[in-house]
Amino acid sequence: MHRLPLSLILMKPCLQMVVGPPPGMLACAWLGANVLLSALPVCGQDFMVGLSQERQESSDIRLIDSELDLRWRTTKREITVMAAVADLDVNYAPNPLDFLGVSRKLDETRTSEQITWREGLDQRWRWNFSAGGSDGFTDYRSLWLDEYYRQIFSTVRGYVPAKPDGKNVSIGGTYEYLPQSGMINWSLGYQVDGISPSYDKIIMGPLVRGRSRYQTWRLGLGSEHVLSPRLRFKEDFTALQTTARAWRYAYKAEALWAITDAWATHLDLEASREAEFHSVAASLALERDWSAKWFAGVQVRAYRDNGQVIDPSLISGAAPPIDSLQAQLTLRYSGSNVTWRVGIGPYLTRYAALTPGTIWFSSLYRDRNWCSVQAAWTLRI
Amino acid sequence: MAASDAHPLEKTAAWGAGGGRLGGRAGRVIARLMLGLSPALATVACTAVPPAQQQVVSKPNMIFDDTNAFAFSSRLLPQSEPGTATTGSSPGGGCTACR
Repeated sequence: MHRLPLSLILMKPCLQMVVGPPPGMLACAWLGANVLLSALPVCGQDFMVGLSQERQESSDIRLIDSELDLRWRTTKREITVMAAVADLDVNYAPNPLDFLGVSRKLDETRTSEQITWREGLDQRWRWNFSAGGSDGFTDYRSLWLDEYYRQIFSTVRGYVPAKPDGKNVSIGGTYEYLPQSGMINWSLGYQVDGISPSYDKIIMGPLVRGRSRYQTWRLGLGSEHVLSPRLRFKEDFTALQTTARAWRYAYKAEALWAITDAWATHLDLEASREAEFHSVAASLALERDWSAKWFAGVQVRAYRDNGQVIDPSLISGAAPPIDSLQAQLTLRYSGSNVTWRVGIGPYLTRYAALTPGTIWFSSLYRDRNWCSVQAAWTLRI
Repeated sequence: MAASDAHPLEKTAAWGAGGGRLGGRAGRVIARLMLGLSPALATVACTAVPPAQQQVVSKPNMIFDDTNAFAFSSRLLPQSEPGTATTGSSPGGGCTACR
């Protein structure tokens, strides 16, 4: 029996409201609703409703991620339920040398749900528990590769259509060793992912199906400090162990620095390593605010890695080295009850030259110019 | 956090040429910088800033908030960037805004 995901039940009415009316009417309704809601008296703010959507669109791929958050908070605990729907639209095109490959439009939806429980918010020791699941392809690359293998091997005995899914659970704790100034936290997580596997076949031999189930253990350590009246700093270290893979280590440091009372910057540095794979990313945002209600800013982010290809001479769907650059203009409003944010800007991805082993994936790993749009809205009552 | 020797695929350095050298040499520099900064920051962080002096760092854009309206991260970037997929804290991780 087909199960209707919780995320679709919750999200469908909201999405229909957003995509139904014409843009002008939608904008007027949006402004009117925000003015009205901002005029409401400030209550206990025990409940929060959040809607957000993020889009990335290039000439052949469109990604839309919509999320609904419901949060209930008291002085002691906080419970958050998240439901998300992600659309992956991909114009699949095989390599021109692949004479048997067929161009096809792929349209897939992933649903996911997550519940998070934080306990002891009024204590120096706090605990959190989280669990969730997802159903569908996690990204456009796995969808593209699934179609690639399907077109080649779907008529061969032993091929099994992919049904990607995932489940996760985590527990963590936070200790506030300096009241409102310093805290350290840890988390331990476990997740199981079902993915679309790769296939291989030698002449006269059976079809070989790659691993389709992975388990991941995750340990996270982090801290956050108010270093001065104008500087807040946060860092996170993560270690992951995934089935049949080397340990992955990741580090992320973030700093929020108020240059003046009205101008603030956000600096973000990230690095990760897994065996021979390593990546770095840096982001800088500059923002100005007016009375701590309106915020306008610009953000620039760059990322680079050395690719996941282990042996360039072997045919592999692993990603080659990539550089990416994102720039975004943002506008935010933070009222007594309503908070919203919009952001728009280009996102450029550039891959290294393909090797004999990755030439068959030339239309997947090609340079793209994306348009990126983010919108989020939160109501506290 | 130190990175390993350069990968065989690392050929070019200019941005947009698709090279991976930043993940090698510059990556090692950034990693060492981070490692060097951490103990220093931890030492500085032993001194508490009184709440009365935290008006500026309590503004909405000066808090690490996990609600989407003030979050800095993107949910879609990890689809193109394999190294971004696992960084950051877990969904249940702590932050100042979670109080």
